[in-house]
Amino acid sequence: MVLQYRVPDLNQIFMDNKTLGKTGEDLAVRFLKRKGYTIIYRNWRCLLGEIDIVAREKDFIVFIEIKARRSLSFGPGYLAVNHRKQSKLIKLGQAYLKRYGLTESPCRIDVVSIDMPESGADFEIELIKDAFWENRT
Amino acid sequence: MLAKINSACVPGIDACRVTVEVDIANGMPSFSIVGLPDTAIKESRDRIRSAIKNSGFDFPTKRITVNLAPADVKKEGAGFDLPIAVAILVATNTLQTEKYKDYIICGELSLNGEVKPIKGALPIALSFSKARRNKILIPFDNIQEAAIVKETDAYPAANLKEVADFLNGQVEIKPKKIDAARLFKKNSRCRLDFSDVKGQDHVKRGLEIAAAGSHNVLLIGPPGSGKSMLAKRLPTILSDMNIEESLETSKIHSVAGLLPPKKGLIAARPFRSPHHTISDCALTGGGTYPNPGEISLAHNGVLFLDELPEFKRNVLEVMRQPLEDQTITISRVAGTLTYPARFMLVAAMNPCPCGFFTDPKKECRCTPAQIQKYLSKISGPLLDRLDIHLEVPRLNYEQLTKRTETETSSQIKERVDRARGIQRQRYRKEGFLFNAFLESKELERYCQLGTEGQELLKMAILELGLSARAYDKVLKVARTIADLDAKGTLEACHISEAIGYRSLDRNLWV
Repeated sequence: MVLQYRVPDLNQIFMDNKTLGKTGEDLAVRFLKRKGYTIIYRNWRCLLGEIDIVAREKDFIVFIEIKARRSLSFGPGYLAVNHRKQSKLIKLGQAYLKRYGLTESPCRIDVVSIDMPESGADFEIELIKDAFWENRT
Repeated sequence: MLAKINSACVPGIDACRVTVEVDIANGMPSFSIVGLPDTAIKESRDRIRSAIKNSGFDFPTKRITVNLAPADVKKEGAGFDLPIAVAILVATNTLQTEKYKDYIICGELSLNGEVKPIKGALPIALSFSKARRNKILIPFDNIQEAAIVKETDAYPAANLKEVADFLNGQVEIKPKKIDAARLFKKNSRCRLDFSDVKGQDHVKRGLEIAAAGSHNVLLIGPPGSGKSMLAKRLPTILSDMNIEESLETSKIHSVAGLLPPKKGLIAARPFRSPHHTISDCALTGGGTYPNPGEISLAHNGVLFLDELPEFKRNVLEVMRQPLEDQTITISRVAGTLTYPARFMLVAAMNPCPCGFFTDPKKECRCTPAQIQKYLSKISGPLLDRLDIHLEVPRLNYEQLTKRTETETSSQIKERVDRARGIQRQRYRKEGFLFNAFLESKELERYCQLGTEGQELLKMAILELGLSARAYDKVLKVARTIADLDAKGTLEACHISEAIGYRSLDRNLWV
C-alpha cells in the first residue's frame, strides 16, 4: 500500500473545530434570518446536550442542527447527522417543548449543512427543512 | 383533528370491517400505526407520505397516529394505504366533506399516488353486499371482481388525486356493474376436449365414472401414455359450476391474488397441477398469516398430482384429512382459519421407477425391491381414498393413427350431468352430494344388490381376496356406474366393472 502525504492547508491548521463550528453557526444564523426565521436561542443547553439554534418560522418552532465541513472528503455535512444524533435531537426538542410548555405547538427539525473550503472563500450553505421525524413503530 | 374511514381486511376468505382512525396532533412530528399491523402495513407510512406529496397535497408535519380498529385482529397486506391516506387528508381538512363516510375504502398506493390492486376484493364486495353501507371504493384493477356482486356498488379508484376530487364532489366516478351471468358464460369456455385423446377408451370410461360420482382417481401407466393429457381434460366433463360454486372458487383465488385481472370470475372448474417438489404448507395453505394452498385453489375442481410417488411423504399425508372433510383448518399463531377444499383428486404415477413395469414392449429394469420402495411411498390410507385405479397402457401404432370419431367432452358431460342429477335427488336429505362420500352405514341403504350381483361380489371376495376396504369402494363405484346406467339396484355388470377398477390394488400393492 502506498501512503499518500499531502501538505496540510494552512487554514486547517489555524482553524480548529471549535472556531469552525462557531463560524458555521454565524453564517447559518445570517442565512436563516434572511430566510424569515426568527432566532430564539443560540446554543440552547440542558442536561441532555445542546441545540445549535432554536428558531421560529411561521407557526413552527424549529430546532436546527448545524454541520459545517471543511472538505467533502468525509461526505457532506448533513450526512453526519446519523441515527444517534437524530434521536438525541428529538429528545432535546422534546425537553425544550416540555420546559416551555409548548408541547401542543407544531414543531420540526431542520438541518443546515455548510461546506466551507477555506475562510473567506465561497461557501455553500444548504437548508434541509423537516429533515427527519421521530421514529415510532 | 380526528378522522375515521371505513375499510376492510380479509382474514381467511371472508372480509371483516376495519375502521381506520387517524389523529393528527401537534408536537414532535412522527407517524405511527397501531392496531396489530404487519410489516407491509408499517411500511405503508413511507408509501403514503410520498403518495400524498406526489398527488399535490401537503403532508402534515405533525404527530400522526393511525389506529386500525378492532385493535385485536391482526391485519396484513397493503390494502390500508388508501384509507389511511384519505383519512390524513380528511384530518388535515384537505377534504372538507362528509361523503367519505358512505364508502368502504381499500387500496394499495404507489409512490406517485396511483392505486394498485389488492388481494381479496371479491370477498370484500361480497361481505358488504348485505350491509347497510354497501358502497366500496376499490382499486381500478380489482373492479372486475368487485363489480360482479349485484348488491354492492363498486367505485373504481385510479389514483389518490382522483379519489380526493371524487370525495370532494369535483369529479364524478360511476359505480361499475358487470352482469355476472354473462361474464360467467363467457369465461366458462374451455379449449380442451376429450376427443383430442386417441384410444384409451377404458380410461375415458373410468374418468367418466369418476366425474359422475366425484371419485378420486389414480392413473398408472408408463411414461408418455397420456396420463397428464387425460387428467387435464377431466374438468371438461365435470358438470358446469353454478354461480355459487363459481363465487366460492373465485373468492379463494381472489384472496390468493390469483384471479386473472381481466376476467373477474372463475367460471370453468379449476385444474391445479402443483409440481411434486411442493411443500406441505403450499399444498394445504399456510404461512404466518395463512394463505390458501393448492387444495383450496382446486376447490370445486380438480387437483392433479403428477408423479405421485415423487411427492414428499408428509405432503401426501396432509391431504388425508381434507379429502375426508372437504375443508382444511390451518392453525397458526396469527389465528385459525378454515378454507374450503372440495376437490377431486387425480393422481398419476408410473408403475415402477423406470416406468415400464406394465409395458409389454419395453423391459423394466427395476429390481423388485426398488419397485416395492417406490410403491410404498403411497400409504394405505391415501390409497384408500383413491376409489378408482386406472391403468393407462402405451398406445400401439394402429391406435395412434386410427382416424375414428371419438366422443367429445360435451357428449360425455351429458351423461355425467344425468348421473349427478340422480345422486343429487337421492341424497337431497343427506349432508353430501355424491357417491364418493357414502359411508358404510349409508352404503347398506343406497347400494341394494341384485342376486346376481351378490353372487359375484361374494366370489370376488373369496377368489380375489378383496379386503373390507376394497369392498366398500367397489360398492360405491358400482353405485355410480348404475347411476350412469340409470338403474336403481346394482347389477352384476356394474359390480364386475367396479371390481375392475380395483385390480391394480392387487397387482401392485400386495
